[in-house]
Amino acid sequence: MMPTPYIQLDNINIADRLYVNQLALFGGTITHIIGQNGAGKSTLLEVMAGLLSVNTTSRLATGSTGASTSSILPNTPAAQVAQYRCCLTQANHSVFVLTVAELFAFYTPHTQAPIELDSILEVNQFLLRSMDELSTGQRQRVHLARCMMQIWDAVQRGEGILLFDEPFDALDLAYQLKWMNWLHTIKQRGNVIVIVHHQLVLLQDCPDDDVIIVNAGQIVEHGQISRVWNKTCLTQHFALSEYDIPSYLSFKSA
Amino acid sequence: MTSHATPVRSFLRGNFTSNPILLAAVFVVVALLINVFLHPNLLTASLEQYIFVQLSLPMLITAMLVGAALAMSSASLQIVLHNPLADPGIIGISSGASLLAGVVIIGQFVPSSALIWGLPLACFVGALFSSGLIYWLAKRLHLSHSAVILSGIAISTMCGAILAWLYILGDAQSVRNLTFWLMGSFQHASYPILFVAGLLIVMGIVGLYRKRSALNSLYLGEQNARLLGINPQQLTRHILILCALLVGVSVSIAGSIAFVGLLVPHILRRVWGNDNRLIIPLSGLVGAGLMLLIVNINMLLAGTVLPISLLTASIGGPIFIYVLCTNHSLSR
Repeated sequence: MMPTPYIQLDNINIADRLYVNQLALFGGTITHIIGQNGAGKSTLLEVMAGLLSVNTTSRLATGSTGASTSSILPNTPAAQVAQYRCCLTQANHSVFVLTVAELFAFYTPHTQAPIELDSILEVNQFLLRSMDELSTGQRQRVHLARCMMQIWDAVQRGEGILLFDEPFDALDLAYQLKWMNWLHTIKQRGNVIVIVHHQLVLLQDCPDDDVIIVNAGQIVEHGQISRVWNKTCLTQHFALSEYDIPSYLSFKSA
Repeated sequence: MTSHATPVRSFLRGNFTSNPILLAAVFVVVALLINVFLHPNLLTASLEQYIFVQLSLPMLITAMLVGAALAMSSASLQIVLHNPLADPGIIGISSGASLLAGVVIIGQFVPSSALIWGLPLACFVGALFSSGLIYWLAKRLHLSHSAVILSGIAISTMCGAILAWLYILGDAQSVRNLTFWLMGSFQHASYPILFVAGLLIVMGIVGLYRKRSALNSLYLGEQNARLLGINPQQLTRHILILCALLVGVSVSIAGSIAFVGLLVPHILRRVWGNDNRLIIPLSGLVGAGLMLLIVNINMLLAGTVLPISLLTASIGGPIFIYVLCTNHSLSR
């Protein structure tokens, strides 16, 4: 049986922030997590990343679902998890003036971005520049690359768990599209990809991806975008009236 | 400055020398040799040999140990506290040592014959006590890096206040003694004390050296360290304990010495980049060499023994202002 990564959450209860009864994400999927500000999206992502300690069993695992190779957090050594799970958080600032090459050397096993990744994010040209000199968007590309390089081998084998918190921040449209397309290629290899973001317009272009809508700390919708995502989601979970929905979020009339 | 930093770094890496560690080691040896040359009759005159072995050598060893300890602990503290200008003095680890030195010298509780052991011992206890207090206070604030710095400021302010009271109560001679002690000196060095202190400092240095790669994971904050499988809280705790040990011992044998710890790693990072696998050991070597140079300067100014901090602060103060003004990441 091919090893496939998966994320499984059971009975997560983080007071006033997040309640998840059961959630399982499997290899070969892209899941978009959306919701209002403060709904608990980032908290959910942090739980998946193993960054938040939870009282009850939280599972984050890779390997065939038959128990022997699967690992349960927090029992698995964190260094082992770090080889197949990466997570782009929103706090990536350093008070020290680091060069891009230093950042790669400190946070990944690679000295520069692998060719496949560099063709998408074009970051190797910045290797000798310091992060201070780059624009916000260029910095975001560097962090995206750094994050994926941490588990690059696992990504290539299709055993990676890739978690991103607002990766589209400051990326121009060309890079957004290029990167999103490429995520769909690595999805084919079997990786689990989870993205927290606010680019609702993107959902319509990825009907085969999954979406999770978080509202007030609870998962209120989970399923394939083509089946779940409609006008009602916006009015129910985003506090919008039907008239507020902008024209660029065009839905086929129900 | 940052736009020039890269060519300077690559120049130094590529063409000037590919091995900064070797360069720093040469620096230490040269600084040592200068001192030997300051004793012109070392090989022939037995009196000169006696003076060298009994007075100069312990002073040189103390200088090297203290320089390495201060520079290495600052280099690691700067990373752990996310503050390029952190320094054991600034965050207050040495304040308790100064306070107990004040109590011992001004209070005259310890007979002067026992001062040679009593003073360092009291200082060490003081340094550990103030570090413990800072740690306890910071832990109540969840051990965030600003909590450690703020607790340090609070504790050192209080120690400073008590010390100021002692100044008012003390007699003229002991106040003068205390002032000199507080500004640092390698003169008190003696072999028995050096043996104990040296052992502790070497232990601390080895401890910090072993944490050098883990420190690299802290640059982007605690979350990113945890994502790499490093436990940042535990690492911070270990570094703080090691620094308390190193700084505590240093202050005990040489008084409090300003600026060395702050400037050495800071300047090394500008030239050789931020990789702690290099910067931590390099700081130790350069710190040791720099303290040797200070000893040499002191010997050249024969007769007047200047307090170490007088020299380090006179040189370090202007450099510190220069660094402040040219550091982009701080001006934002």
